[in-house]
Amino acid sequence: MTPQSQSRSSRLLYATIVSTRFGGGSENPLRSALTRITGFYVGAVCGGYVMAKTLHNAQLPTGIPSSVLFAIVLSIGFILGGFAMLATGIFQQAGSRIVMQSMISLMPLRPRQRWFCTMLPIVVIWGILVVFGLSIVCTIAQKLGVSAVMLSLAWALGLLSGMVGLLARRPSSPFIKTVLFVGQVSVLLALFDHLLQSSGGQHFNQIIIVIYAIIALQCYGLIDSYFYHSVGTLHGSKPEHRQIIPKFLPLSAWFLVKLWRNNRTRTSFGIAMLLSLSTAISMLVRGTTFSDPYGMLILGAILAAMFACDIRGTMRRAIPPEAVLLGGPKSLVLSESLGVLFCGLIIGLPMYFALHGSAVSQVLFLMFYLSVQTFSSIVGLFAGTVFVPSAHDTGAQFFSAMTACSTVMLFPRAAQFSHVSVSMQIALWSEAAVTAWALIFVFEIIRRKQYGRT
Amino acid sequence: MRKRQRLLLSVDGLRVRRNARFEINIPFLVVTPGTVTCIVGANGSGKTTLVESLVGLLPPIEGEVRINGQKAHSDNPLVKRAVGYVPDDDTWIIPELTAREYFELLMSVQLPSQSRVLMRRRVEQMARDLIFTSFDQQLGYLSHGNKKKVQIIAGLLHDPHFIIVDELRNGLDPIAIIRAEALLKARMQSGSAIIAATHDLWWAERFADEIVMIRRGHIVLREATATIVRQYGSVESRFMELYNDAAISK
Repeated sequence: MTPQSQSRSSRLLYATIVSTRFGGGSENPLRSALTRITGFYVGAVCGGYVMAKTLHNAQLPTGIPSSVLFAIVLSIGFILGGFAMLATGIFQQAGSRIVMQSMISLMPLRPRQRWFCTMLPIVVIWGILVVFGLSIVCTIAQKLGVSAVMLSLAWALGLLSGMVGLLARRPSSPFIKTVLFVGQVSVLLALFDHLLQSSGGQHFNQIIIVIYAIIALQCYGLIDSYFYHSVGTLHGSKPEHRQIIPKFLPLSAWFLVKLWRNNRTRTSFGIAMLLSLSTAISMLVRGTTFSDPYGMLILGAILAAMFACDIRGTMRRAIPPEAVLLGGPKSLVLSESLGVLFCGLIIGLPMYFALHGSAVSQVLFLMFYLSVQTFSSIVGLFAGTVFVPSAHDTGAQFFSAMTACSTVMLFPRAAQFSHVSVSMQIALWSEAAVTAWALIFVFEIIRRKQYGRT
Repeated sequence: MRKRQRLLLSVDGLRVRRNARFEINIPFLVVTPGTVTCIVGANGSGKTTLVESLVGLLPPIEGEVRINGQKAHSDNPLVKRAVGYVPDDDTWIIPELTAREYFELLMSVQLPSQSRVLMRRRVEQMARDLIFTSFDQQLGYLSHGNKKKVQIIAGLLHDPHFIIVDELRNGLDPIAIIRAEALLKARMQSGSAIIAATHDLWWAERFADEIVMIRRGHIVLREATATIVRQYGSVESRFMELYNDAAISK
């Protein structure tokens, strides 16, 4: 095989992976994938630049040893990388059998080529996150007088460790993986607490080494994924799914039954609940009181949006049988919305209970909670409706999750919440939710009418 | 079509687990070049599991499949290139690519050093044979039958030694079935071995040189089609007899 033919085959293969993972559902998948990726890279650069500018005027604590600073940046990268994997559900693909993977395993490729086909989407997402943080990290480095290159490297490595750590096949359960990740984050936070209390010496160095070791341990995921995805055969046997059918639910709750029976949505819901519960418990254990409990509720909203993104992807993009058989796109959207609202409210509940003590008016707080959860659930559903992130569609999963989460985070800023009363904020959240809901209807109806015309 | 080196596919003590409740046990099986072997059986008897294992997808928990002495479940590119797979699965395509792009990709991966013009000609010839013209349409939007045609071309374009076909006739129109059979026969005459899984006994009788009957993951019959027809009248009668015996003994 000549090097030219080798590189041509690799180029075609990787272009195909990019098309399928990031450009699904469009007329020209490769162009669409490249446009989407470029858009997200530009968005990441702009977002990072805005944050860096804000940071530029802020007062940063000086006198932090560079080893601690590197450890902090590594850990933040680790947490963000891991959270991105959990939010997008990409890590669930680590041990799964998909057709594309089967096709690749039958192709006469070199092991590292085969492995890179699986890693490519993750590399793209990692790149977007690295670019997002680069200007922030460089600003910090400039203000604190440390090497910008080294700090950027720490950021990139931290992100990578957070992402690849979740790729390991053992433990196979997404719940246990999430628990382990949350556990590692808790350990890191506890170590930083110790670090701030200790004033140098051997103990100080030991803590730093432990932090570095936790980050380095994540390499296991990378190595494991290489051994799993580089071989030309699939592993293990197909699992048998036996579902418990909740017979007590009325027929009109069919969508909730569907969500429960679908492995992916069930896992997503479990992970969102787990993150929400662990955050709420840590707030309660620490006994923290918040001056702005309304702002903190956004955390629960982000988790609800994350979950809501996955829902539309459980059905076919065009003409889902669920729509044809059960009353058309309007009926489908109605059922989806009810399901998503129900689950979204449950996901936010732990945060509500953890924070309601800090609120002055309980009625307003409850109304705020309901409006923000409704908004985030509907926005998540809208992002899912646009991208339709089917299982293993890495790009669509990432794009929809990022779109939904950033909308929930940026909406208060865009609507200038700092200048309006809480009751006005509730009205704004609700209005925006209704608008997004109407857009979902429009989107589905147009999609239904456009079917077969391209 | 050129005559090719004679390779042998052999199965020795193969045990493949599909899930916790189903596995197949194939103590011995040899497929010789220039023959058609049909694997027949009822629904859920293990045909597709055996096919996926022969292709190299499902790893064995015991025993092995060897292609001319080389393990089929390995990373050896020569072994991978020796096998062409036509699955009975609508999703076994890359729906985002057009048929042309898909074939280009497979050509570059399967035979990177071969002349692109020659391979394109081969693909075009097969497409003409199968009456497939939708080269510039995304595969995801093709009809079921056209997807099957794409899968057949994709499975044969690198001129493999072993063509493993799962339910060839599913989704194809009558003309395409005849043309696809002719394509496979031509490959067989040039020395390729064809292994076809099917539940269509009439077709198996007409198409195969040898019948392998599988029931609950075990081979219950392996015989030349001509012998079965001579002794029992048809493959169908033999099949029913075996299944009735099994039902009575159960």
